[in-house]
Amino acid sequence: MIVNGVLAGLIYVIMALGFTVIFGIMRIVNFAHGEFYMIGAAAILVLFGTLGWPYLLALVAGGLLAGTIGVIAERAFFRKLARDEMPGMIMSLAISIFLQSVMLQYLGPSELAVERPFTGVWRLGSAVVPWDRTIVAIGALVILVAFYFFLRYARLGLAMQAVAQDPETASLMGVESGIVYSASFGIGCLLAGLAGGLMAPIYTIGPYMGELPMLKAFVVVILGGLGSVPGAVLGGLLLGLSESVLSTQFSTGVALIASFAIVMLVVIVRPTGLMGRSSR
Amino acid sequence: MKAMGHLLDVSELTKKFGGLTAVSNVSFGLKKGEIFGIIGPNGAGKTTLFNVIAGHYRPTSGKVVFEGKDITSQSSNRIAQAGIARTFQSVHLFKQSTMRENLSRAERISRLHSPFAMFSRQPEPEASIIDDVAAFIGMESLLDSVAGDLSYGHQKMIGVGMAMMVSPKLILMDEPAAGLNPTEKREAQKLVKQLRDERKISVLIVEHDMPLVMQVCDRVLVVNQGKPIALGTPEEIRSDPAVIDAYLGEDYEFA
Amino acid sequence: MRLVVFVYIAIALIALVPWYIDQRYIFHIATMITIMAPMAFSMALMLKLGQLSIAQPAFMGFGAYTAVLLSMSLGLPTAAALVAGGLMAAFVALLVGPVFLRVKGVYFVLLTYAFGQIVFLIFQEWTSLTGGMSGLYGIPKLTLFGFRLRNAEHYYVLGLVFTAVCYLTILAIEKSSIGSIIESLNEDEMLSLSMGANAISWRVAIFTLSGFIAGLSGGMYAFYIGFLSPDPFGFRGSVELIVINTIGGSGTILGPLLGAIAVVPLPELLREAQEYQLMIYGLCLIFFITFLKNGLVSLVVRRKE
Repeated sequence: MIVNGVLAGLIYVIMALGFTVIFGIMRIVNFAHGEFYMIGAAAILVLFGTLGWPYLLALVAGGLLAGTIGVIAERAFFRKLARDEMPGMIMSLAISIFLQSVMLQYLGPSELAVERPFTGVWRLGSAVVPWDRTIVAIGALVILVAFYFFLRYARLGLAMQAVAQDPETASLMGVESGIVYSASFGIGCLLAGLAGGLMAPIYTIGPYMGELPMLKAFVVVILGGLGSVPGAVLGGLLLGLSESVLSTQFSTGVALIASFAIVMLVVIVRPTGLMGRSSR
Repeated sequence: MKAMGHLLDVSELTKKFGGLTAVSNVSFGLKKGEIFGIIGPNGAGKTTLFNVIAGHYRPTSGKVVFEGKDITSQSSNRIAQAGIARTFQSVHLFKQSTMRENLSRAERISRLHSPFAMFSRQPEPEASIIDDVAAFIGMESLLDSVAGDLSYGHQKMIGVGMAMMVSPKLILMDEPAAGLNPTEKREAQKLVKQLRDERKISVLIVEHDMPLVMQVCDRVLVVNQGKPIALGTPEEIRSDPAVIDAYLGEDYEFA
Repeated sequence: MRLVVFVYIAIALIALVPWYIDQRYIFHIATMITIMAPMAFSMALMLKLGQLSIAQPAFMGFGAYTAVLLSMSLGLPTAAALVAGGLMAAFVALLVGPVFLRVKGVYFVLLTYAFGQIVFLIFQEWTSLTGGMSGLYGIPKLTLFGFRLRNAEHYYVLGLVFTAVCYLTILAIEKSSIGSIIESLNEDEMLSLSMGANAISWRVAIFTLSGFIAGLSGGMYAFYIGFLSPDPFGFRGSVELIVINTIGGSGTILGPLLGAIAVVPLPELLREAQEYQLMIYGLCLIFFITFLKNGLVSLVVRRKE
């Protein structure tokens, strides 16, 4: 139960990371985040499932595809809306609807399944852990570590942090906000796409598959603080664990209700979340 | 300092933000019909003191009593309903509306301060109240101009006009002279005196501009680093060594 | 000004269309417009406060389930149950309003989103009360003043009256002192507070009104369709309302009305091309946000700037 919670939590972390990066830098609540997750999953379906590419390659390709589409969307639609919270939200909603409809076109309305690339189980103490979920967790960890190093040491990563904290000062210091915005959105979507690709073999793939992951990302990000990376990590693990406990004790519905109740509580009492800074 | 007969009584007001003490043990009484000034060097805590009295901050300790009623932790809208209006240091106006609309909105807001106010018998305002206030501040000719198009000085005057629509007994003014040129400052001084003389409205001014305060106020409180260091008439403070001490190093005229 | 008059006349004419074509499904679309328009009004009321509330479908659900349960389980006359549904939704709004409305901006949206999701989940999970996903069947027909509303045409007339009453009420509020105060709160809350405005009480009042309208719409919806499931009360419902309000435009209440007339028939008109329906929603939304930010109504009424 605990192990499951941690495994689930790690994927939530990746989803939340992308979401929080986009909000932290562009102050846009990306309702389309789940759809980029779906793009990553669809890539696995097509590239790995149908065309027979190696899993890892398909995964990376899916992530890059999601990221690229994200950058295009950002430049075409979101650029003017950066930091304008409401229209940005509605625009992301529009994009989400549009992407869902495109998927509906190509995949049809029903859910499809992909062959699992990894099978079998291993043991951790008394727990039986399936390999495929373990790979997902390992993948998530790898992505997390890579992201951490990126933020810490890459020029772009540092620039992103600067813009998130204080865009005016950042631009005074020569950071080009346009590039940072595109990159942030793209990376946020890339992360979502990778998450989708990792999870694709676990569940089924369909045009509405992004809704639930987005819900989870949303809960995590509120809990950890909108715009906070460590918050996303903490929140993701907390959510994964609590969900695991609650759905085992009661039901998944109750677990979900509890998650949202916590969201409401956090927003009312401490909107910046466990670890966020209050911006503005 | 007798508590009787004071319109506004501030006792031992302290405001701390975390470890920082912005206002420390400030006490004074404002008499009815008085023009009272609060001055101090930069960072002295004047603005924080103002905002506590105006209801934006809750004090850490101390009391604010108005007309005998304790208003210490009341919110800014309750304080306005009690009869204290305020003006803003930076301009707060409905920039896209005309001056007349601005004043009209002020009147409506103060009359219908909550949905429940709609149900109690309210005396209808006299039709000419807007013209009356506009004439008082000397801007009747500009009633139909868009507020955002007017000069900064005029905008600040509208702010005073809107405060008057609340039918206040006391107006709190936050750095009224900020951003005004010398002519406008003289106008402002005249207006403050008129408010007291013609309308019987008491005034509390928090200000940076020494000459203005010295000329217009009956009594002045000097604060430095959040603490009160002198209270008296302008002549008394001018020669108070503690005050001169506090301003040493700042470029001030006491004229 | 003249253009607005033409628009009103056009709307009145459009309202008469179902009797000229006289087909069941035209009356159905028309009735749905008269149910969704007040829902759009409900969201528009909150937009006037500068808040985007996606809790409206939840209030609709409260109204629907309350009305249905009161009439089916307790035998309350349907008309009374309908009003009770509206009052229940208003009551919930009154209850949560003072807490929710202290939160502004994005956080308020997220708060109403979470609230809406919880209510939706409760509707789904509390199967003993609401019948869960399988829903409640056999809802009785509405009886008003002794007249039993049997078919779509009857409900359409009721809907027209309801929509008109809501519209006129909100228009009256817009033009009154209340409207002026709401605008002031929205434009500069600090200034309004300094003049005595009790901002929270006004916001709660508007929120309660919007909840009441949504609750009534919900009740009407339930009695009309005859079957009630949690489905329309989830996030999808909010999406449709957002689309209506964005395309129609906010600012004045005519916007959501135009939006409802434009958007609600779309799924029916596109019944042939069902897959494209969602795509067109999305494209329309993108188009309007980019090019016509103030919606259709901005073509008709020049905003007072």
